[in-house]
Amino acid sequence: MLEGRSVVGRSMIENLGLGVGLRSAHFGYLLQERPAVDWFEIITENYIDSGGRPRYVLEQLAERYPIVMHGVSLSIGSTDPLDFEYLDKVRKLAAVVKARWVSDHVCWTGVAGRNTHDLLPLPLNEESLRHTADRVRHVQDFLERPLVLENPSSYVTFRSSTMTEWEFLARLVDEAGCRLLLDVNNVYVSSVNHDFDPLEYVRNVPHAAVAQFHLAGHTRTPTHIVDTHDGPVVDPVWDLYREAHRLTGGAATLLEWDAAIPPFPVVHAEVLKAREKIERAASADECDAPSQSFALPHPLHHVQVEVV
Amino acid sequence: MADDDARSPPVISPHLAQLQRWFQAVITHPGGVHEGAASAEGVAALVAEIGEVAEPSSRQSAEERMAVYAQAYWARLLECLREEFPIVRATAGEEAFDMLVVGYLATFPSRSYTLGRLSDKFAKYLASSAAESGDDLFGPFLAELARLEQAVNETFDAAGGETLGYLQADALRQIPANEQAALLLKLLPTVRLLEFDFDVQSFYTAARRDPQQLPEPARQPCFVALSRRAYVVRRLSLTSVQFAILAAIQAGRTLGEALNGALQNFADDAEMPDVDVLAAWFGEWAEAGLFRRLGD
Repeated sequence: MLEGRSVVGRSMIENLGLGVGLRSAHFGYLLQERPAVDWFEIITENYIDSGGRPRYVLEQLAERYPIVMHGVSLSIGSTDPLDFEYLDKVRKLAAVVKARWVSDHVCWTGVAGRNTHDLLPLPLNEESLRHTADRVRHVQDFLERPLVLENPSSYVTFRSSTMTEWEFLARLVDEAGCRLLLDVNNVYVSSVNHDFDPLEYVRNVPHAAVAQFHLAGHTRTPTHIVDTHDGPVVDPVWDLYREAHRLTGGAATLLEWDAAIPPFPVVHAEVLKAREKIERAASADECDAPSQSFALPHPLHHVQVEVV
Repeated sequence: MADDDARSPPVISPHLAQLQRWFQAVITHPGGVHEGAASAEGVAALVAEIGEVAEPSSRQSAEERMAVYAQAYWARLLECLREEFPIVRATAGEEAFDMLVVGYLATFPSRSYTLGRLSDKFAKYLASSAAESGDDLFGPFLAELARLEQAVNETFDAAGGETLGYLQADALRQIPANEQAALLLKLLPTVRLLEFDFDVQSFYTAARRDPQQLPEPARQPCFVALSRRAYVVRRLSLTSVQFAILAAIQAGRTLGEALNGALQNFADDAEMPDVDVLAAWFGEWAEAGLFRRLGD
């Protein structure tokens, strides 16, 4: 299938080490303390239109730290046309902050001109694969760089699916030449929600294409798990991370914390655990107790306004 | 709970475009997933039971799983607008605010890649809803409050003097008198000039001080300029004369034209300023970060 391949080659993506998702709650601390963090990942949509403090802080940090851009509105699987005005803004910001790579999700966010601001699941079949791969190639050619795509957590599957998610990702990588952002928490969340073995997933994704890992906390309800990004990483997710690290040889790793955000040192300390976790023996027990309160899935990206 | 294989519904394999339109209709319907599937939008995409398209898990039915997305859709957007409009929310009350938001989003769903544009039509929606219901006090007041809060959000994130350069008060004072009439001042993109029928400025200040002790809405003309210094939004109360001068400058009039216009319109105003007062106003406005550096 060389004919349909993107012009973007399979150049190596560097391992940036252990990074943290940039959130406005930490702006003041980061500018003042300049902590020793390997890299930051930004939510692209929070910065591409900003002329205010978020953009100022980003540009300050970009002079000191490697930046990766992580989007939530590319909607690569949507049957709506690609939004090239949005992509142009992505491309321009990537140039300004010297983004090491640009990522988004294997999902769709809306159709008929609408945006649900959620990462909605695709039916995993030949039509979706063809459609998504074609759009990935277009986006990569426009951005002139490989696209890094994340497996989202999901809460429903379709009767029209004909392949597993890891098969879908492997074929997408093969047909479009993109890279993977393997979110091991999302693998775990979806494995519980869809009754599959998360280890089988991790063992069958194309390891050479994994450019980055995501880690995050989640919320367990009596019937399913919600990807809330509101707490520390649980042991079963660390176990998956350890296995994924072994199989891939390691990749840039980032912790996402989007709700009930603690002080920056706490968030940073959580991702730094990755160093010891990849050395440790597998843990035995699940450690997150079911919550009865409503859990809001990621993503929600909003910046607090300062006004007098 | 999950169906077993013997009771599984027939499999429907819609095209991707069909499935996505159906899915969106199901999870964004204010009445829930069943009403979404039966809605005109849902049926136009696909005539199907939820269980014919979506699969159950070992612990949830297909309908329950779709409802996870539906609940998240409304919760996410509600949370976003609650954060953007804290004073409107405190004034309307939690339940009433949520109902207004649901009505707004059902009428104007998001069409942007960013949540920053989600509230673009919220104030207008509140104003038109109030007009339709014949409410001429609380509804219009809420709409004006929403307009102020939306403008604050816009000012916070616009390109401003921190990067574009401020016109400093000293630089303004040093402009020779014979050049002042032809001077073209420019307001920074962060500046918003707002005119209200209610005193939303005083109300906003009081509500920020104590959201539990809200004053009564007062129908009284109110003029406000929003600006930004050091990335913090500032609210300036204006008189009608001050508002008219700044609005003329924003419209591209020279300083002389702006002042003459204000003098003509307010010739009978006992508080019409003299030259010293005008100089003090412009100095105050420059300090507040209203004007862009000259020459840009």
